[in-house]
Amino acid sequence: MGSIFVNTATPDNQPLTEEYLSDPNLLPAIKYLLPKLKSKDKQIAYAEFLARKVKRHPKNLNIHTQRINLNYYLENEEAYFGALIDLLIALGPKAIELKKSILRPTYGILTKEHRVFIKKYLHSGISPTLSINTKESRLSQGLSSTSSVIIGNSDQKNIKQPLPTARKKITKGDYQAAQTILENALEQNPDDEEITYELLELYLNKNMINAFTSMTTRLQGKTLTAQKKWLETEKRLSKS
Amino acid sequence: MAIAEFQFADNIYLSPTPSGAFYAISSPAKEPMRTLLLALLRQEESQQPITNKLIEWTGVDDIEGVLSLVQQAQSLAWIEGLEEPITLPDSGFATMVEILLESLSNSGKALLVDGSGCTIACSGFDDETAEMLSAFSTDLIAVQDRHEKRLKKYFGLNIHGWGAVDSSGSSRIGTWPIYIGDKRLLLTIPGEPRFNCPEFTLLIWSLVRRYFV
Repeated sequence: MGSIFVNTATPDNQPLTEEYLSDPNLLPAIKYLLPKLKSKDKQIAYAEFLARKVKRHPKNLNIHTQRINLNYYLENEEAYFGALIDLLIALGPKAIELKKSILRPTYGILTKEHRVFIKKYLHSGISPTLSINTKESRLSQGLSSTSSVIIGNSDQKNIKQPLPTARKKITKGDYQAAQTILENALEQNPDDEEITYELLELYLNKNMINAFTSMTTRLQGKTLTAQKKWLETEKRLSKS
Repeated sequence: MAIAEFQFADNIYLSPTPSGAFYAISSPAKEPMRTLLLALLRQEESQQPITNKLIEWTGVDDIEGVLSLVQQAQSLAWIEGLEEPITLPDSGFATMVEILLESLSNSGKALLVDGSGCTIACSGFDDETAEMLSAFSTDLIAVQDRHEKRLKKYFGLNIHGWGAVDSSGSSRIGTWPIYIGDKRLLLTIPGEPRFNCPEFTLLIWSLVRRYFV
């Protein structure tokens, strides 16, 4: 069962020195894809340590991979599902092949319901505000529903010239209204390159990382234009 | 009059999210957003967004102001829209709070005491440990009371809780004050707290219903 996890790139593939594991932060960075621990209690403690680290360092893929593999090894389906959810939140729509390669050998442990859920969001990634029925995700915001309370009013939904209207709003400093107009317009016409650029620039200028993530979820399954610009925006927002 | 830029969605019921519930009780300071969230948490069941009610609850004196406040709460993911109204579980306050506390940590352990250290609810601790933790939490909060203003002044820190931390700063055991009106309750959790789950919202909802005057 464990052979697929051995990181052959690590020359000193030795078990961790478990007597010093009372504070795993003090150990050197572990590069194995499956941390090697003999006692089950220590393995469980280390899985919890990795979950805490994911919360602090959501972009660190080594931590995500170790957490996923360790929970699979421990046959803890709920924690394994939570770890996958956090990976899909952290990666969003990018790194499809990486997501598949992490998931492929371990997919079988998931319940049917969880398997369907992961398959649905594998390509698009997951927004932290998506309603997910698990307590094991550290990056989800724990919402129970995906319904909006408030929406841009119908005038804004049916604006004939969304781009100039949004630009006027931006000039006036009303970024929220401009965002709503552009998002509604893009949802209706996902291949509109000008609106795409204007919206992505707005996200960048105002550092709207949550709005960006929500929008990628809203647009999942639609053919997007300016793929490079989407990826570049995500990269720049995640650095800021 | 200018047309409002936002409108409420049809057939939805307002509910604070776990983050919204945390914000609502994280400080005694009164401001419109906290007032809105606490008002929602004071209701017996989740409410439809009726403008007049929201104006009455928040003290914001015009429709656009209320819409803007709710829009802001939605952008922050502090409120969400439910398709059906929900109510608190009907299992009695003490039992319900004990069950909800169990969901807030990996170990299923948590303790809730009032400002003087009297236990309100306890999950997973024996009496002796609960007593020790009660003293621990009230001591920690006494430290907060002595130093909070200076920490804010010199470091700009808005403190939400106090804890014993490991070498990377992660909490091994921590205490979080819960401010409800004039009351302050103390929530102590060993390990990493799970404040991002719906049970946390239910816990805060039940406490606000019980203690808000």
